[in-house]
Amino acid sequence: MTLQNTQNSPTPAFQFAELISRAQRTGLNREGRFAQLLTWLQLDPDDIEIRELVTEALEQAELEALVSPNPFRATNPLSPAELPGIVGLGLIPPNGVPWTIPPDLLTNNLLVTGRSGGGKTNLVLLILAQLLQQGYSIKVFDRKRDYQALTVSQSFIYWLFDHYHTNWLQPPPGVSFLNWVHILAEILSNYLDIRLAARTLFTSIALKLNEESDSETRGVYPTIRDIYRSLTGMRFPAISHTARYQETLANRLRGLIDLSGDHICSHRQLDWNMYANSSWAISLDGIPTDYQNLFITVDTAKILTHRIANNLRSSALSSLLVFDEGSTVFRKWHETREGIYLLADYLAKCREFGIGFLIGTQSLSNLADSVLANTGTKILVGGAGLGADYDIFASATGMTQSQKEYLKQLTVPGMACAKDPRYPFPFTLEVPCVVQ
Amino acid sequence: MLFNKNMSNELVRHLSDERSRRLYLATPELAAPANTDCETDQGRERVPRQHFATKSPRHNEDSHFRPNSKNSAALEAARRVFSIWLNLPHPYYLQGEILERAGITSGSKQAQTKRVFRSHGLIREHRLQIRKTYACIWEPLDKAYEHVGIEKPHFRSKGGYLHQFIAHHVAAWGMSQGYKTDIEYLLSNYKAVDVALKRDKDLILIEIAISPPLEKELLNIEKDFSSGSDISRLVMVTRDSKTKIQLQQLINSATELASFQDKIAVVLAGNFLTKQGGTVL
Repeated sequence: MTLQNTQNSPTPAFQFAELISRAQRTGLNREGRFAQLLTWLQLDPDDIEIRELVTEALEQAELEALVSPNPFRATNPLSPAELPGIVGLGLIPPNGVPWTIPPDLLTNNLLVTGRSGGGKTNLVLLILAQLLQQGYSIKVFDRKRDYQALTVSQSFIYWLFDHYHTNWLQPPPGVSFLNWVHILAEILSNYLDIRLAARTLFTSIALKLNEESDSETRGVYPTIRDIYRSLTGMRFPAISHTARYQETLANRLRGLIDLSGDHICSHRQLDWNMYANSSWAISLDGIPTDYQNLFITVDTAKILTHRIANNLRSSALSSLLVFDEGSTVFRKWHETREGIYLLADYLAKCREFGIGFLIGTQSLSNLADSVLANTGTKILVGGAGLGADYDIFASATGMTQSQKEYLKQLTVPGMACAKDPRYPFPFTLEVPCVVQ
Repeated sequence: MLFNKNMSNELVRHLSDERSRRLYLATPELAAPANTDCETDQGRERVPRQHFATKSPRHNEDSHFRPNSKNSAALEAARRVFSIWLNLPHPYYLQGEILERAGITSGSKQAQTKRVFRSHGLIREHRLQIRKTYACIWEPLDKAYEHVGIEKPHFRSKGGYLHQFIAHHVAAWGMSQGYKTDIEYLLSNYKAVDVALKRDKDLILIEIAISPPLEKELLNIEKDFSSGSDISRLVMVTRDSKTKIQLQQLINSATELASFQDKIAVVLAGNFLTKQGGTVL
C-alpha cells in the first residue's frame, strides 16, 4: 500500500506548463534564479522544497502584479549584457539594470521627446557629457542656452552668435562652388520663401561674381552682401517677371543681411579641421525662429556635403548633431509642400557618413514622419504633452495598449520609456538628474 | 556630475570669445579694432553703420557730395566706390583692385573718380614699387569714412597707413605659404615686431622700414636678435629699390650685426603683393 500525500504527488506535465505560463505572465521566467528552480523542478518533480520555492516566488510575483500592475515588467531587460554600451542613459526597473548604448548606435539617430519640464534637456546633457568625455565630436544647435553648461569641459566651445563669423557662400573643402551655391539656394528657398525663378537669379549672380573675381584661385568668395549689391544694381523693365523676382529676392536678402550680415558675409576663415572635428554649440538665442532654422540648416549642410563630397563614409560615429526643438525644424508640413526638404533628406543619408542626429522635441504631432521613420532609438521622458503623442510613440515603438495606458502615468520628470533597436520590446527607465 | 544651467552671461561670453577663436584661422584682417567704443579683443569684426549706397546724393544735405550739374554722375560713382571699399573687412587694396570691385573698368571713368576723390580731400595717395613699376595705394581719410557713415577702424598694426598696408599683405602672404602669422608680435624682451611668421620651429620676423632715418632700423635689428628668441630669418621690407640698397649697405657695414648677417634679408614690399616673396624666404 502506498500512502499518497498531496505534497509528495508528482507534478504532471500540464501543471508544469501552467507554472511556465504563470511565470511568463509575470515575467518571472526571465529571472535567472527562477529559471534555475524550474529546471530543477523539471528534473526532480518530487522535490518538495523546490516546489515550495517556485510556488512562493510565483505567488509573490502575482501579488506584486496585482498591487502595482506594470505591463513592462514582463519584458524589461534584466541584465546589462542584453544592452551593452559605454554611454549610460538611465536605470531600468525593477532591478536597476543600466541602459547603455554604444556611441556608434547614434548614427541610427536618436529621438528624445516629452513635455516641457519632463527632463529632455537633462537626458541630452547626460548623453553629451559622456560623449565629450569619450572624445566624440558633438555639434549642438542651441536655441535656449540650455547647453552652455557643457563649457565645464575644456574641449567644448560654446559659440555665441556674436562671435559667429563666416561666409555662407564659401563652399566646404572638397565641394565645388557650383554645387554649394545650388545647395545654399535651395536652403534659402526652404526658409525665405523664394521660388524657383528667384532662386535661379540668386545662383546666376553668385556664379557670375565667382567667375569674375576668380574666387576659387584666390580663396576669397563673394558674399550674400555682394550678391545683394549686384542684384540691386541690375535694371529690368518695371513690369516684367524678372523685376518681380528681383524685388522679392532683394527684399528677402535685405532682411537676412540686416539681421546677420556681418555674421554670414564675413571673410573670416574657418579652420575647417577644427570646425568639423571639434565639439561646439552655437547659441541661436534671440534670433527669430525661421532664421534659427536657416542657420541650423546651413551649418548642417556644410558638414554633410563636405563628408559626402569627399566620400568620408563611416559606420562609426564621427559627429553627433543635436537639434533642440526639433519639431520647428523638422516640420510635418515641410513634407507635404512641393520641393525637397533638405534637412529631412540629410537625416536619411547621414548614417552612412558617420553622422548622427539627436533630435529633441516637445511634440510628436508636428514632427515630420520621416524623423520617426529614420530614428532608430526613441525615448519619451517625463510624459507627453499631447494625448496624440502617446499614440504616435506607441505606434512607432510597438507598444501594447496596456503599455501605452501605463505610460500615461509616467509623468514624473526623469521617468522615461525607450525603444532601443537592439531589443525587441520597449522598456521603462529612470534617468538620473544631472542638472542643478 | 551636475550641470549648472545658470551660468553668468559674462562668463559665457568670455568663454565663447576665447574658445571660438580656435575655430578660425588667424587672418590679418582680424586685427582688432582699437576703438574706444569697441572691445579690443583680437578677431572682432567691426560693424559698419549705415550703408549709404541706397541714398541719393541729391537728398543728402549732410554730404559733401553736393549735387553739381557738371559732375553728379562722377560723384555718384565715387560714393558707390567708397561704400563698397570701406565696407570690406579691410581697406588694404590697390587702387586698381578697388575700382575693379566697384565695377569701374573704363580708364576715363577711373581717372574721373580719382579726380573727384582728390578734389574733395577724401584720399591720400602712396606709391609702392612692384617690380619695376610703381603701384598707387589709396589711403581713405577721415572725411571718406564720414561720408559713408562708417566708424574709422584702427587696426592692430601700428604706424601709418602704408605701414599697415604692407603689414597686412606680408601677413596674408605668410598665411598663403602656410605660416601662422602674428602682427605686432611681442618678443621676450617686450619688443614688438611688425609681423612674425611661424611654422614648426621656424620663426621669421619681418620689420617694415619705410620711414626715415634708416639708421634706426639697425637698432631694431639688434634688439630683435638680442631678445633670446630663436630667429630663423629677419626680413627688412622697404618700399622701393633705392631704400633697399641704402639699407643693405648700412647692414653690411654695421659691425654689431656681423654675426647675424646670414640671417638678415632686405626685400621690396611689392614682392609680397606678387608671388616673388617666396624666392626670398
